[in-house]
Amino acid sequence: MRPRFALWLLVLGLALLGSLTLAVMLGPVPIAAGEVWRIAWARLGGNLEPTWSAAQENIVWFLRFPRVLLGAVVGASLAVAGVVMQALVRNPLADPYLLGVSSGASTGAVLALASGWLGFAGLYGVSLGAFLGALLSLGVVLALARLGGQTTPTRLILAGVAVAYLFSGLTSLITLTGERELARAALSWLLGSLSGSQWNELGLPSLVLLLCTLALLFSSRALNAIAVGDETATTLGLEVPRLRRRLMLLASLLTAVAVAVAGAVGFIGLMLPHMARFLAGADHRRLLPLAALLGAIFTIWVDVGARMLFAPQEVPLGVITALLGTPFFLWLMLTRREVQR
Amino acid sequence: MQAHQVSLRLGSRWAVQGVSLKLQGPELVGLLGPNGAGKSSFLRLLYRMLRPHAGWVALEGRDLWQQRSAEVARRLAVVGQEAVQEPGFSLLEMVLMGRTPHKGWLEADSALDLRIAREALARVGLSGYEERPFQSLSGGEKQRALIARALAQQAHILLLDEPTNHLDVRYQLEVLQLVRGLRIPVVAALHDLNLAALFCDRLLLLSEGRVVAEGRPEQVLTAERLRVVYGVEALVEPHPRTGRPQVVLLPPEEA
Repeated sequence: MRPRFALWLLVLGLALLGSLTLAVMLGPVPIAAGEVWRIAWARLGGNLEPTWSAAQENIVWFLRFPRVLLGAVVGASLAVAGVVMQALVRNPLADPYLLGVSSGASTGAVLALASGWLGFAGLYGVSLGAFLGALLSLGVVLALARLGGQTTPTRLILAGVAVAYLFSGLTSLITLTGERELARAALSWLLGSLSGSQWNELGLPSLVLLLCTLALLFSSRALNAIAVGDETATTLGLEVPRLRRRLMLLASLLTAVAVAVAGAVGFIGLMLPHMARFLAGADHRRLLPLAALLGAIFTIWVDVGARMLFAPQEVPLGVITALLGTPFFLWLMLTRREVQR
Repeated sequence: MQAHQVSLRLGSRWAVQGVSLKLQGPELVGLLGPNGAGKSSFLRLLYRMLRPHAGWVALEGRDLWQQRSAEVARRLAVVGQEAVQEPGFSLLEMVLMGRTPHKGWLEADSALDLRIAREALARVGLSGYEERPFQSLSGGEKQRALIARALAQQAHILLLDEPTNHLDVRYQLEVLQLVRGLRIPVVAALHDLNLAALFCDRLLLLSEGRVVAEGRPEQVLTAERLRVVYGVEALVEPHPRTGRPQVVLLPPEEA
């Protein structure tokens, strides 16, 4: 088991590096792999004689790199959040949006688009609106689940579903009563997109990904025990209700940040955790790192698909995750014998 | 460990009413009683899953609820009745979870942990199954695996809620023999009266949340009590070979 995990870590680490390079190379203006890293090296302060044009440098460094890296961060965040949610509510259908984060974020984003209230934030107004909406719905769900008793998985799921309906209703209301262009803008935001990503959008999501994933790794044993059962976890010395709230909060924070920068991309947080489980087994000490790597790689390629498949038209990430991800997942499910849920 | 006059209300009903139990040294205490008598609820009070509405439970002289649950878990191991979810752990991983209360934040499983887990598996007769997925085991194997996990916890006290569920006769005997051989205080909720009579040093007979009899098996198990508490007719006689009471249930129409 151990050597296999180390091997997968190495393989996926290399695959991530390869995917990053390929994703930067691919596009309307193809760029060689060597150029990609030479440009990166030069931009990072390395001393290199330019063998490339200024236009190539702009494309690689200001258009493609931030976009590809942000895709990796968003994918890793969603996959990690999905692993945690599935363990905490012991339900293979749980995803990062379980606590209403995506519907709250959608309402916030659409409201920002429609009203221009967050205009002071400029380009980031929509992201900021989404983030605030996500936190609002998260707070409402956690408070509801806690009312009148312990925070059990069933209460969390029910509160999450109820609040999600409320916010989707609000989103629809705002979209349908707004101007005509709003509906299109809102729909493309809701299905997720990384277009127009910039370097300064990377900082916060990366930091949140790093800190939350570390904190979750520290809680791997707790996640393992809670995934088996609340009573089991309690008799193994864990304060389950308090831990569950804290871990939910970490997962939802990861989700909220990802949703704010990339929209409510589906599938990644639901399916990538299962793929990681095929490779790593159920132990969260191995599952979390592999899920992060898989999520990053998968999302990079989904975004490449979004840019290239229907070029010059860009399609939302959610469309590609559904169209490419579903057959891939079904193939995995049918060929791997471990999947006997 | 001591429970003093503990009571527990579940909804409008008192599930446990003024039950006391003091564990003294290595002994196997059997909790008997019909369904709904309060056996599981009483055990849950003992293992800090539920908080008593009256009375108290103390572990090593201190109230259970004044201690952190990790502290409690290092000294108290439990095999409960929870339907265990099976998200894909191997048998060895499941048993290693018993080491959780002994481990720090990022501490890895040590060679010692592995040895403890393998020994625990050997004691329940599951050696050689380490890498099998837990979900592929039979009901009885799962039950033994959970007992192995409790053993790996290396606690000073063991609480078992119907540990012989799902086990065939051989393993029913082996599991009770095993826990008695641990030389620690063990409390086990049991349904099989003859098994209880054969292995337990002391019995606690519960009915509607109250203790109706307590003492050595021959003191507790009488035909009269079984009629009152369980509503069954039975012959109870000392077995000629073991000397323990033997319960022969009679079909209702012959009573």
